[in-house]
Amino acid sequence: MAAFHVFWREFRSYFFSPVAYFAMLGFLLFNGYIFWLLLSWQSSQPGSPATVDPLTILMSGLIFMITAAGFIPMVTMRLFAEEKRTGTLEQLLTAPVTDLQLVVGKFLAAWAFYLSLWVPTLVYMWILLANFDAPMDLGPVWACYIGLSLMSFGFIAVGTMFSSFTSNQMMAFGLTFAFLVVTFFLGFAADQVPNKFFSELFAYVGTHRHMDDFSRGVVDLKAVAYYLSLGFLALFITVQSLESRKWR
Amino acid sequence: MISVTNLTKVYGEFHAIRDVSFSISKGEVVGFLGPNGAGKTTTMRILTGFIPATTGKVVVAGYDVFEDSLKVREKLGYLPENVPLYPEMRVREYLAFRSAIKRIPSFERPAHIERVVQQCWLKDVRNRIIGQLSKGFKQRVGLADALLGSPDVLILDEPTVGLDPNQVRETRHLIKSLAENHTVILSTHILHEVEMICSRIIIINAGRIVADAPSQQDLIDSMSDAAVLYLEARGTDNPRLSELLSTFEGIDRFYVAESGGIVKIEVHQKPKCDIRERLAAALAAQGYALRELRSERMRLEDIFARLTSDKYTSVEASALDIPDALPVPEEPPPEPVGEAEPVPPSEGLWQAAKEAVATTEEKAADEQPKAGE
Repeated sequence: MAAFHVFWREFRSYFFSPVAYFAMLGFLLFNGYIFWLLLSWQSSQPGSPATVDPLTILMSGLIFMITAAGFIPMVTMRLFAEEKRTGTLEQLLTAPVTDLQLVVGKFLAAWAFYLSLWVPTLVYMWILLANFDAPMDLGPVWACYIGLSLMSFGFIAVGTMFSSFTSNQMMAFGLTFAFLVVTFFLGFAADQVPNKFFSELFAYVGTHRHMDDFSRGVVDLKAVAYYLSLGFLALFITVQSLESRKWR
Repeated sequence: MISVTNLTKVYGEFHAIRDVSFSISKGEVVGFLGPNGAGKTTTMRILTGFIPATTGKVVVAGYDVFEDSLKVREKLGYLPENVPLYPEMRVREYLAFRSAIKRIPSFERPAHIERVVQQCWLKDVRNRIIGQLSKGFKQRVGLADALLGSPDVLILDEPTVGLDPNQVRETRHLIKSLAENHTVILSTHILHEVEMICSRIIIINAGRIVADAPSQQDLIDSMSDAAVLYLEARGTDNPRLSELLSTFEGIDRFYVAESGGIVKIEVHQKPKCDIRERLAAALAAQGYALRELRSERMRLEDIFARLTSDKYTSVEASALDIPDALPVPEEPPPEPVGEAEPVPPSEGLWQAAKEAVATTEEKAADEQPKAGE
């Protein structure tokens, strides 16, 4: 129950801060612009049926990575860093709330906020459905939404973790941003690595291949396992990092 | 209500508190006094379970702080230093949030919030955004938060810092009125505050308890028995004088300064000693013509200055480490006693007190580990 109160306060507090509105605006502008570009590009190619719909593109590949790497750190950076800096963490940790409840509540708030940024893209789906002549395959779209939720589960947890390491929000932003970019490019690096083991490893750890799967409508159990375990590991480390005040 | 046994906290090499023990019974208002960096905040953080002690045991309201941390936290209201709050929330929202995470049943919350709002005079600002409130109101919001759920124990870390004189007075009244239903520990370095509010005083310096008196009057009495004597006599400062004083029964410490054939001596008596007559006779026997002898009673400020000054701790510390060591200072007196003459004595001492606190503060600032990280 305490986790819910923490979640609710945290989630609401996003809407009190200008950063949230900036993030929402930027997110909508960026995605809306890309969506419009893709639509007009595709409609200028008459005759060839679109193999990939524009909405799927928003949720995979480079475009998704730009929004993820840009906006996920923005959403997670303040979670713990801010409370450490202002000292409100002391207030929280001396209330009858366990470290785990606190971490779970805050993580869920950030995850929910990030997912809520995507809610307006459902309108894009409606636009596509209303304007496509041919019946549209919604499988990949839903797979992408599932994939997006999964990936952000892992990534938001990592962002939460980095935020708990420092009392400096910019530091938390930078570390999370770096993590997201590195894992994204690991997927590309996989093809260049001669060693088979490392090639496989990079491909698995990298974001790239999983995104391709989702955009083809495939929700691979390996991806589910990967992002869930990444998320749980990061949250576990976050709890440990909060408890580390007890070892010092 | 609170029992602390042999508490020690070490940050790396730095001993924030050493072997602190005390116990507080229900309904006491304890003033936790000490210069900045003495270990007040560390002790309070350990009491709240925010950080653990390196060694030692703390029991609050019947629960061990380390074993039953959550139970203790339910029984405890804590106002941290600097009163951290969420600036973007409204006062009522904040109090609602705090009462929720303090596990107050949802149907009781409105009544609890109403009560603390009344107690802390927050009625007019309950719909205001915390970030826009003045420092005094923020302080009261923090206090209201600590009072939510009527905890048995209230731990208030410097509750009046940064308030204007009226707010300070109001807050002190409030704290005093809380004593009926709560056990209160209040940390401060403002002596006046302790004089006004507290029924008991614990003075801490450099991580050790240097005084623990059941009442302020007791502290003054016990320390005043150990009043300081100021002597002036015609004669010279020679080894025989030092020998006489250092072997004299009832002298804790002394300082001697000589100028122009007049020696000025500052003698700190051991508690419950009155050596004036014996000392006068002994000096006369050594050929010193006594010109002046006066004894000075101490006020809380003087006691604080004495207990927390560097020379006192160093003597105490060495006496603790080597039980047989004689507490005789080897250095010359830092301030010749005679110079205080033109100034009214209490004022001179007040100055010394302020200086003593200032030096300890500087030292503490150097030694204190970076908070937060």
